[in-house]
Amino acid sequence: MNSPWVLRVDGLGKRYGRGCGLCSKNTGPLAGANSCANCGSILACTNVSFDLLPGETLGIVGESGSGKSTVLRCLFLDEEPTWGSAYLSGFHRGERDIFTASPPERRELRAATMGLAYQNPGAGLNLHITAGGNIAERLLNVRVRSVAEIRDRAGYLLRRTEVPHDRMDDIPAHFSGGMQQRVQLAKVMANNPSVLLLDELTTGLDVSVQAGVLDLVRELQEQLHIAMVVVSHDLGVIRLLAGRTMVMKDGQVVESGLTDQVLEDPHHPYTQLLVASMT
Amino acid sequence: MSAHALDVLGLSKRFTLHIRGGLVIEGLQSATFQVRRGEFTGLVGRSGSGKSTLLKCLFRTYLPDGGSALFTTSEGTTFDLASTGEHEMLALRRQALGYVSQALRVIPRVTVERTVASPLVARGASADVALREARLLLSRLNLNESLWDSYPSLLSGGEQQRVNVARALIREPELLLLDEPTSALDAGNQGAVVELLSERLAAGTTMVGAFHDAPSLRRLASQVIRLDGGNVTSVESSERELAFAGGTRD
Repeated sequence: MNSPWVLRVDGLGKRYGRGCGLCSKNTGPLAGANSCANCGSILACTNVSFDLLPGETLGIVGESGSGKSTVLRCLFLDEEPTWGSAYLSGFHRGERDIFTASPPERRELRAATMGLAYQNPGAGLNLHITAGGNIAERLLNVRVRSVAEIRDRAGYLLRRTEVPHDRMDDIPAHFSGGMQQRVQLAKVMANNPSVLLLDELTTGLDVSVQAGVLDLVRELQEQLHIAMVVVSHDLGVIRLLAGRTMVMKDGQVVESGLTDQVLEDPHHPYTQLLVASMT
Repeated sequence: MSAHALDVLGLSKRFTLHIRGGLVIEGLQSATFQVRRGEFTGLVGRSGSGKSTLLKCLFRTYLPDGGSALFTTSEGTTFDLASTGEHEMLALRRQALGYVSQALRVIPRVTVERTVASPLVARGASADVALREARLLLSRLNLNESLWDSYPSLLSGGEQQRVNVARALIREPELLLLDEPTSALDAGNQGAVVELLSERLAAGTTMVGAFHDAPSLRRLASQVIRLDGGNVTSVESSERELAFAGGTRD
């Protein structure tokens, strides 16, 4: 059977540390902390659930330490979640929890089914091999072997992300931050992932460079209808990209809804504060 | 199939402002009315009376906290706009609902014609078809052709309003919500908007809207709802100036 969603997340949570009986009382937005005063464990995120439909973009907004990036890293299998499950329609038809995947299955999920673009391009790219080589590396992961095919595809992706063709054989270490970010997007897109995870993609870039990266993401949405989870502390980015938004604070989702509703009719005190400090 | 495209019962919205010490504002209190398919319901009332709140509750930019707003599509499916799921609401917005705010929310670095065309593209139309349709609407709304290729943020308020109207009309919504869509327009351009709206009414679009000027409302509305302090104080049918409806200029 076909699931209506491409990604379903159910009760996802991540704790660093052993945990104790007081953790749930000592952490969260009410306690105003994500670390337990009793045992010192950090509850980076707890009880995160959502469905992502084909072509949909979900925004996750919150301050640093709210747990939003941990959600992405768990989904991309960079981190082992403590609780919860996640399903991808492209993995055993959405019937098997991706957190139970075997090591080779995990490699496949990361290489072909999902793509994660990191805030720091250095985390997603090898800055010391060429831009084209970075993309080739990802294509080789899914067993594309022909050199001509790889160069074609790399050229196409770099064109799409507006990286000048004559820079294809340069190393990203010599690129500007914005161009590194665009190369990272080209790399992440190389295998046509069914879900794209974007972590603070524009943070730290100059405003004019941010604009170029955001335009590129919008183009990917409009032309490829790729499903995305966009994590940002910037409500402007979320407003531009996401149809639905979850607000996280101290490891928990305090509010979620249609993006315009969250922005114009925020319910939770924290969201109201966030929106009020926006303009 | 229900003759009513919209059946609103006890719709309420209350705002609790935590950052203002828990101040509670009653935005809309138990609004009840029906709108027949293909007709225009006008909202009147002073500023702050709840007109925008009502419209935003119907579009779910505000999350109502009481009552229902049953929207029945031309295919006979009924959705409660006050409580239907978020994914369903997004799909309804793509396919059946339109909302024109007073001010255009500009998408940065997207030209006027593409801003108007994009809802059609999002629904699967080819870029060429969507652009042709967008240009047709923009010329119907007297927006100077030299502006079509510039960015909406560079336009005047009145020009932006017409871009906004065109962007909402291009997807031919079944239910169109209008929040003073002509407040910054001169009489001539107001007339162009009203004429376009009355054509869409004749073609079966259902509308709920607030207009800042009474003549526009008289031309379009077959029902007028008065609001005061978040309360519906009256629901009256009104005589449309039918002579205008369906009239063409050329």
